[in-house]
Parts: sequence; structure tokens; C-alpha cells
Amino acid sequence: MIELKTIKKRFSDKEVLKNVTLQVQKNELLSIVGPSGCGKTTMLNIISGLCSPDEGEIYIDKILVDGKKGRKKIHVNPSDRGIGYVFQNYSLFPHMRVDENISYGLKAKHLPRHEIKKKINSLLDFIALRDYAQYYPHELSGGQQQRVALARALAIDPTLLLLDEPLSALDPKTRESLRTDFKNLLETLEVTSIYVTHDLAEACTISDRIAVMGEGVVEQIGNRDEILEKPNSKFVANFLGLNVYDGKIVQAASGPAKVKIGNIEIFTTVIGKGDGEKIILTIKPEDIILSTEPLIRNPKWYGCVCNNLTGKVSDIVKMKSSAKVLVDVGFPIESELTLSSLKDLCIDKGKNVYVQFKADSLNVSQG
Amino acid sequence: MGLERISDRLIIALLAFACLFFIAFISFPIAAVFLHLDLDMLILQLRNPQVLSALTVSIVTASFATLISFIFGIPTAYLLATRRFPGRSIVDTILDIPIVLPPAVAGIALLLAFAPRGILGPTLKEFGIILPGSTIAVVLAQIFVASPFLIRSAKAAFEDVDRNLVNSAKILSSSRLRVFLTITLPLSSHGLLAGTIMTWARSMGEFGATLMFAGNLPGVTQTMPLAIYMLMAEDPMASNVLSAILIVVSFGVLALFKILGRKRYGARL
Repeated sequence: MIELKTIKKRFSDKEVLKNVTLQVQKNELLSIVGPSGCGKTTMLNIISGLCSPDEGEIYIDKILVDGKKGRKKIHVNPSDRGIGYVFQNYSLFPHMRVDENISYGLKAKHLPRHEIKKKINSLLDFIALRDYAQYYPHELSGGQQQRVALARALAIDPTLLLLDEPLSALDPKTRESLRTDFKNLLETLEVTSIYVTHDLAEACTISDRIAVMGEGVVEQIGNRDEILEKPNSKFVANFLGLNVYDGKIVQAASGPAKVKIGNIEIFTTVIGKGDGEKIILTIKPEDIILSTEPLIRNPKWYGCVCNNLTGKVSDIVKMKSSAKVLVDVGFPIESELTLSSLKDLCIDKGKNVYVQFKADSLNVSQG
Repeated sequence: MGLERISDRLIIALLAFACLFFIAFISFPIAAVFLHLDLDMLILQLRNPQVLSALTVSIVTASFATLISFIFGIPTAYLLATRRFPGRSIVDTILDIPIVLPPAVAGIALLLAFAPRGILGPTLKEFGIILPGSTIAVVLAQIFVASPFLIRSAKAAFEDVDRNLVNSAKILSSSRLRVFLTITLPLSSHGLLAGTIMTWARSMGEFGATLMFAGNLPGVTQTMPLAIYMLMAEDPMASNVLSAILIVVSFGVLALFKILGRKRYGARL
């Protein structure tokens, strides 16, 4: 089990980590997601011992590796923490062959030669690169290099595996296929792992739990559904790409409550809130229905309260298979449609559209 | 489009012209040395004890100066490249001073510091050490003038080593020495080699500081550049021959180091 207690780290005048507290259970795979510069890599470097925290404590399997024991400052060397670290850009030693890269940590432990050889072979089988033992890193593809980096990290039988955006340097296609490979490999390992990425989809595919980081703090930690369905802050909701609004309860009710966003009134389901209370509302773009014709009540939504609004399309951003449509309904609201729906509905920039979403599609948190 | 292509060609032509200018400017005087060379004179001078001793003094002193610069320069460069400490930029600047200092000034500075009437001279004399006029003085003058080239080059080479590679190694190995010897050193070897070559070449060519500080004693402090200078008035042909020898030796070492550097690893670094 890994435990971080109130970790703080400052680089010159920038506080990179502010009171980070985190627990990773044995054999769990925790993903840390967050935008660039939020302190993810610094956190990994602190856990690995490559840099020391200014304050706080780190325990690996209940052993204090960083922090204070009485008056004594503890900092266990990176190589004595039993950590395997896979760096973002592979970081394979370019002047060493694949087998030499994998055996680097084993040689430091002065293991007998035959044991080292056995270990190299089993790891090469594990990453399916048995025939590449004599190759130099530059002779391998990006995906192969990444697998060698994983094998090198695993060679020392680590207690904890740290992976810093291991797939980010790959092209999208290789990345997608390796994502599944990586997940399968990590599942068979039974090793506690922390996987850092800025790609939410990657975190959702690979990990058991996800921690969302923003500006040096862990904003939210939970399983995939908890994060995606119940973002607990504006930051997390924005990071997930949701529509986020500051609202005010106009009329609380046991069922749907009337809420004001700017001057527009909508319905939502809130529990335990009173009139005049400020709240944060979030809604997924894919939960918003658009039409150029007046919308009839969706039969599947029978029994639910619907919000029906009208507005003007202010922008359309087309992606690979979907499009984001920004509509001004008195406040900006973003809807995500498939490209074929966009075409069928004849939605264009500047057109007036009808907007519909369920009252219970809105997630409400404290303002 | 057509205009762009013309301007592209014009730029390439200008670049090529600039490059050709330097090739010609450097090659022509070197070629002139060889064009004036008399083969009989060359053989004669190669048997000349004064020439042989100047060549020996030059090679031996330059090699020692390079070795000592390497032994002290590599740790200095490593420290400057990998650690942040108060006064680091001042240290960096001090180490660069000899590069911009005129060699004659370097010679005077060394005299004022180490000559018998200099600051440390009396102390050295008590131990029976009188530097001016000794071969050691030649080595010291060469170290003073040439070692910054090695330190600068090595520092840049150490700074160029990817920190993530070093960090990967640190996580896998507890020995800092092993990380240095197996990762940092091989990955910076090209820069170290280049620095070593430059230091050796600069030492071989050192003239001003050596003349001022060590003097011009044949067989003791007379290096090739000093011998060339002395012979220029007495025997210009002999001076020409010595210049040719110095060019061949310097070029040979440069080529050797470049070949060794290229064959060092099978991998592209």
C-alpha cells in the first residue's frame, strides 16, 4: 500500500503540490489525470525519491520513505524504494541493447548471471519481444520501446510501478492498440501501480480508480463512474468537458426544483437544498438534444421533467466522428452529436434550434 | 512562387559562398606550407636534434597538460553541469577567463603568480621549485590556456545527457559512480572527446604564455611553435618544415580522435 500524507512541494516561487494526500491499495492501479503542469510528474518524482517533498510523509508498505521520524529527516534513495518507473519518452539507454537495458537494475543487485539471463528471457517473453534482445532502442518502434521500458521497470520486481504518460509519445493508432495491451499486461502483474496521463479515456480504460489533479491538489478521487457521473468541483467538470454553470435555487421542492442560471429558469432535481442557495450545475454535452423542429417529449423520458429551451447555434466544432455544437440559450450550452445526426438535423451556425435535456441529467454540487 | 524559388536559390548560393570562402581561407595558407616544402629539407630537418626535441617537448607537454586538464576538468564540468550552488555563475565565468585573455597576458599573470619574484615564488623556492625555465612551466602555461576548452565542452556534453536517462538509472542502481560510468560518461563521450582534442590542439599550438612564463630553452621549454618562431629569422625553410610537421601531427591526431569517436558505439546516440 502507498500512502501520501499532506505532501507539499515548491519550485522557486511556484507551489507545485499543495497538501496532496492519497492512498493506493495493494495491487491497485490508480490513474492520475489532469492538465499539463498540474503537478502529476512532480508527484511521481517525489514518490520515486528523485526529488524530496518540502513537507509531508510518504509510506510504501507502511515504511516511511520520506518525511520526519522525530527530529530525523528520512529520505530513502530511489533505488532502495523498490520502484519501477516507466518514463514518458521511454528513456531507454540508447547505447545499450534491449537485453542490457532490461538487466541494468538486475546487475546492480549483483544477481548471478544465469538468474539474470533467465529473468531477461521471461520478461522478453512477457512483452513478446524475444527476438529483439540484441537490438538497440533506435532500431525498435515506439510501441516496442515502450514495452522494453516496462520490462526494465519490472525486472527488479518492484513493490510499486510508476508510469508517467507511457503512451503519450506514440501515434494515436499505436496508442489505442497499446492501451489495451498495457491494460492486459498490468492486470496480469498484480503490482501496485500509479499511472499518470492527461488522457481521461486512457485512465478510464486502464485503471481501477482515477484521481483528478488540478493546480497541485487532488480535486477528486473515485472509480470511473463516480468521476464521470458526479464531478465534485467546477475544475473536474471542466476537465471532463462538461457544461458547468453557477446557479441559484429559486424554488426548492421535493421533486424537481426551479433553478436560475443567469436569467434563465430551468428544472433540476436537488435534494436538501433551500431557496436562494447557490449551486454548481453540470451536464454532459451528450445529454443535450438539439432539433430544428419543436421537440416532442421523448417517450423514454416518461415521468421525468424536461427542460425545453431555444437558442441560436454560435459555433460548431467537427471532430473525427462527432461534433460539438455551441448554442446560446441565454447561457452557452454545448451539445455533442454524431456527424450523421448533425447532417440529418440540418444544424448550421447561426440557425435557431430547440434544446432539450432531462432535469435529472443535471448534476448538482455545492456552490 | 517563382520569386520564392529564386530567393531560395540565392540564399543557398550565399550560404555556399560563405562556406567556400572559409574553406579557401583556411586551406590556402595550409596548402602554401606544403607547396613550399622541400623533400630533402624535410628529411634533413627530421634528423635535426633541435627539431626532434621541440617536437618531443610539444607532444609530451601537450599530452600532460591535456591529461591534467582532463583529471581536474571532468569533475569540475560535471559539478557545474549538474549542481546549482551559490556563486555558480561566478565560477563559470572565472573558468572562461583564459579563453578571452591574450596569451601574453596569461604569461605575465603566471609569472606574477609563480615566478621566484611572484606571489607564490618564494614559497615554491623554499621547496626547491623554480618554475620559469622548466618543462613544468610549459605544462602549466598550456593548462592555463587550454583547459577551459575541455571544461566548456565537457559541461555542455554533461548538460546534454537526458535527465530522464540518469533518473532511470538512479532508480535502478544505488551506486552513483555506476550511473556516472555506465550512463553519463558514455552518453557524453563525444563532447568529452571533442573537448580533449581541442585542449590537446590548443596546447600544441600554445605560444605566448609559454614564451613569457617558461622561456625558450631548446630541449626543455622550446616547443614547436617557439622553434618555428626562432627559425623563421635564421632559416625560413626549416621553419616551413616544422610548420608542416606540426600540421601533419595535429591533423593526424584530430582524424584519429574523430574515427575513434565514431566507432565507439554501435548505436546512434
